[in-house]
Amino acid sequence: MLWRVLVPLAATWSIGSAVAFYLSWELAGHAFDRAMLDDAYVIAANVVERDGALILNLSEHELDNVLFDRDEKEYFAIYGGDGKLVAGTAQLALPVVADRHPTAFWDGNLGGAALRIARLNTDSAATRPFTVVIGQTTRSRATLLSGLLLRSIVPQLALLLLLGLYLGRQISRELEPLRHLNLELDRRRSSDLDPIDLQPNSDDVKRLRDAVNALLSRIEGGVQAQREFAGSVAHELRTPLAGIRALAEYGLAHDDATIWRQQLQSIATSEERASRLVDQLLALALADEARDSVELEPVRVDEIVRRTLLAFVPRADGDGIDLGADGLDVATTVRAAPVLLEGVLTNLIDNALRYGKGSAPSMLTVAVERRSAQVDISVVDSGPGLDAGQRENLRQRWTQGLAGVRLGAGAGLGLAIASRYVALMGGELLLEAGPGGKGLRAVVRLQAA
Amino acid sequence: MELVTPPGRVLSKKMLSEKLSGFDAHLGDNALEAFISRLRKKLVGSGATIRTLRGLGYLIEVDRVSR
Repeated sequence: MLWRVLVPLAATWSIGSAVAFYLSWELAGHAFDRAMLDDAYVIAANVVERDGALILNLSEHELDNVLFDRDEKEYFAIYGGDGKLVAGTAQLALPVVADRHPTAFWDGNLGGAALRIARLNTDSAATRPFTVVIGQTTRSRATLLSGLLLRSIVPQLALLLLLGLYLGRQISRELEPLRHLNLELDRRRSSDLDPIDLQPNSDDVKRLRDAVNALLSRIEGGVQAQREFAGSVAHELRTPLAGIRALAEYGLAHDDATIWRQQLQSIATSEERASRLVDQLLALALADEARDSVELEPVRVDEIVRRTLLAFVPRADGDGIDLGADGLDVATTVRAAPVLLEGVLTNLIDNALRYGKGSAPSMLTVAVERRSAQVDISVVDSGPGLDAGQRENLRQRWTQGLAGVRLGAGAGLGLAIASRYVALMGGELLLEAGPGGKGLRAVVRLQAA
Repeated sequence: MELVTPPGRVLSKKMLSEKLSGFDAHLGDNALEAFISRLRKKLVGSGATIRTLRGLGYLIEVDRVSR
């Protein structure tokens, strides 16, 4: 991370510095060149023509003053238009290539010393044309170059170093929570879905933490729902499996092949129901995600109630409960899913039988009643019933869907599943006190078809 | 007779009424109940009884003790 920041930073800085350095070096060079040219002009101004010959009209002392420089050694040469040396140092030769431009600069050397050379072509009316060449050692320029380097690059390098250190510290401080998060997630077992405890030092990290925690919470909800769904499946299957076992035991206790046939037939029917129940429960598990997957169709509710009730006759007989129906003489149609409706009735009747047992007189009645656009299917038992607080408690658990279904909750589970089925069919399940305040009256209210 | 075949099957009043109406004009509830009552008397001692399932119909039950 640090290197990904520092490398582009250093590259940008280097290019910027090189450009700035080159520009200042160029400007300084121009200033030096201009000073040399000034000297050339002074010398040129003192070249006069006498008796048809060019001479330098300056004394030794005046010439020293013109060429004086504290640090550099300066040479000069004056050439006539014919290329003959008029005055000065002969080693300062004219450039081989002729140049029409009045001034020119180039790098040369004299006796092994590097020189910067300036040339001035005069074209005045007072004299014949001549050329002044000035050569100057480059010590000052070298000093300037090293000065520039030292004064600009070294502090900048130091700054870059400081910046790198600062960035390194800052980045590692910023990333510390992420490292912590990484460690925390690495250490986690798959079952540990508690929220991550992380002190955010920025909004970004806080958002990341919140997103991770929200995901963990959703996963935990899903895991919880699955666990509870498995419990529901177990509960739902217990009843038909117990029925199958009872049928088998009855058959085993007899030697009559007719009874065997009967029991086998009943076992096959019960198993078919159990299988359908499993399918339906699986569909119910998916219902949390796909509530629209349940397809409703017109269903003859009287037929389903009759069929379901008759299946309970042997059990009711065994429990000494008088099982009855009301309103089945009239064909009544509702919008429902047949298997779901049967599941609702099975759950409610199973519940009523379980809790109505032992009360005297024990009665269980399923009534179908049409009320304009709706149909009420009520299961009334003569058991202990539920008080208003218990009924409200159950209702609140239902609203949470599968997540509200708690294992080992006894009757609440059957009622919760029934409520869920009813909700899937767009109806509602009401719990009321039975007639005369006794027992429980569970009303399934569905849309008439 | 409808009640006997198949044994153990529950017959609703409506179904019985429809089945019986074929040879006795239309059979009302009262007539059906009277018919069941007569049938019950005839079955006394035969080891079979007609059981009424409230709101569901009638069921012939074979008395297991007598078998």
